[in-house]
Amino acid sequence: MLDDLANSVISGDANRAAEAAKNALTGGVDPLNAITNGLNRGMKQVGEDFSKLKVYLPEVMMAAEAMKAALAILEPAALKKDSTSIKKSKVVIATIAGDIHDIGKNIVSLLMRANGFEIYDLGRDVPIDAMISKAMDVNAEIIAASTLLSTSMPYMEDMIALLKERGLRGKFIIMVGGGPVTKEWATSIGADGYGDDGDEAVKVAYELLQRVKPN
Amino acid sequence: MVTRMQSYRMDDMTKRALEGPYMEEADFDLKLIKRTKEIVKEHGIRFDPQVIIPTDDTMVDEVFNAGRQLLLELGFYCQTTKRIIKLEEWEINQVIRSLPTAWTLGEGKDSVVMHMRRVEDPTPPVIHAGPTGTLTTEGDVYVKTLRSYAQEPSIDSVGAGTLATIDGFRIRKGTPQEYRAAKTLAGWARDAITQAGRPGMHINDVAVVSPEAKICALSPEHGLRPTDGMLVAQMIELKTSLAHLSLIEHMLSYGCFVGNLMTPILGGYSGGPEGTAICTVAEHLAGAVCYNASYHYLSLTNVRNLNGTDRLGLWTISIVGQSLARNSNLMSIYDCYCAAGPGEEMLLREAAAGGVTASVSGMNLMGCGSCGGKLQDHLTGVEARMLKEAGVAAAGMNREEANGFLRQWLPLYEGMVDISKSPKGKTFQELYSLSAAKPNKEWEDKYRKVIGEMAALGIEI
Repeated sequence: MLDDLANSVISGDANRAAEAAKNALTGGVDPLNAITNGLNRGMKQVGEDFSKLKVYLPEVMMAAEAMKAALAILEPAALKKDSTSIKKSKVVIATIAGDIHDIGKNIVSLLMRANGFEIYDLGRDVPIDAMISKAMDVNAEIIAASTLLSTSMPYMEDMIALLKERGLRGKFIIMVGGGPVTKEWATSIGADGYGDDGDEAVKVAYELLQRVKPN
Repeated sequence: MVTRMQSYRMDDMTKRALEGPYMEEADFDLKLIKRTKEIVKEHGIRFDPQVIIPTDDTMVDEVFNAGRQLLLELGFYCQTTKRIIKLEEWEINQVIRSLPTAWTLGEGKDSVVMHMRRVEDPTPPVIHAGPTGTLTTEGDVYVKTLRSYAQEPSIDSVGAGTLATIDGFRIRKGTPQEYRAAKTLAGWARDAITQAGRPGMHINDVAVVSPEAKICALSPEHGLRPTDGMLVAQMIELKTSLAHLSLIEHMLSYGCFVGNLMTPILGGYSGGPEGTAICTVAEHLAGAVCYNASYHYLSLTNVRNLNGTDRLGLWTISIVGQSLARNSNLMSIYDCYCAAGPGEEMLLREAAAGGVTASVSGMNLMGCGSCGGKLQDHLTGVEARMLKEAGVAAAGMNREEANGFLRQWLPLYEGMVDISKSPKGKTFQELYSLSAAKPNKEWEDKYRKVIGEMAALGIEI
């Protein structure tokens, strides 16, 4: 049954995923186990395949839809069993000020949501204070900023400086990414994490949540 | 008279952008994803990794028909108004029929004629060279970098580096420094071509982001002249904005060339190479009709590796180029973006593959970008020379011959196109003598080695 859940996500079949979720519950599979070792395993495979270009963005979007359909059945069951069983980490994500390119940000947003993060996607060309305000409002753990433009990279640096100035730097994990952004540059401006692509961004976010505890 | 006709068309496009059907952008993207996939199937378009330059003319023509169908069904999306600029078949056909087959770029003895090239055309391609948006150090390094292209005898046009800083100030979009950068970049480009002894050479762009700031680069005295051009970008995929249309309005009245810049994402909304190909044809047509573009820069971007020199990318570029060359007078320019960096043989091999593929497929050339555009000053004139010379050497070659070469050539580098693994090479300052902007022996030796390898496979530079 767990394989069926994973495969329904990999094939991007929402009807099959919902059916597999129902079957798992009637078959006595623990809903949290079904999510973790069924759906999440399938989504992890899709993310890795996308990273290797074995599949493309439309297939990833369909997988995410299948995941959503199954979660609509499994999550309420998991919460009913144990209300603390599903704690989603909150991420405020945006294409930062000055940039209207958003496909990279949309891919990261899609993969993070499909991998169990609670996503607040503010869109593109978002001022840094709006990103910080939203993160404060929703008590986010992560702020993720993307850009395709070298002329918007300084705004990432400005965001970190503003967080420090306001005494908020330790409250959030900061991730940056996008076409011209490199790991070395991310480190140089004091960001916590960087991902080469959407799949890596998910892995880095998981790893940072374990390693860097926001205050 | 021509300008007035163009103004009428701009008024018409603006009206459609203001009054066309309203649609949320996410819904437009979903419609594009769905219809692209369906249209690919309807037209029987299939990627074959063993035939990098497709030889099936029926499929090539279907890519053109499918691209036109996609544009007619979806329209061109205006992000500012969230409305769709709908186009009709008769007006697309009318524009295609009215396009000239050659443009004179630049002025005087330094000008060059860029022709509409056809599949297997013996006419040599023209190259628009330059750092293609890669970050470059300001001041003398920038001028010398552009001069390194301009003094290459085979290079026809320069431009398009992005400054990291201006007067030591890190450039942010929408700030006074961005406007200053636009003016300064244009002036430095003119200095570079003058120092190279080619003051009338065509300048193809200044790489600042804001459409409003780009206007600052236009100046007959010390900036871009009506014989020069600038890129006007489309947003991904099949999108524009009122700011971009406004820039075009000014460029048309100024008289300079409008280059329609497309950065379709291979692996993105339009899916794999087949979907990306038809979406890219649609973007060319939108650029011709809505942007009044004189020519079209195809900067194909791999969603993972940012380059366009792998098997997927070259197939897509070729089939797009061929479909336009066989069915229209839309001049498509292949913007060669590579994974490796300067000083690396791999970069020269990527440029050679791109030059051969694009030339045989009826395109002109632009480049080269390197390292996915991520690393400052990782660009030189030598890789642009390779792109152009490979294109010239392949002009007139038939597709079967070119495929025979590529089948042996791609395995030399395709295992390294993953952007995290590709060799990053060195900076312009490390590979050139700055005083004369000349490449050092190490870099020239590698160039000679790679052209020797090409000769052994039948392509003589």
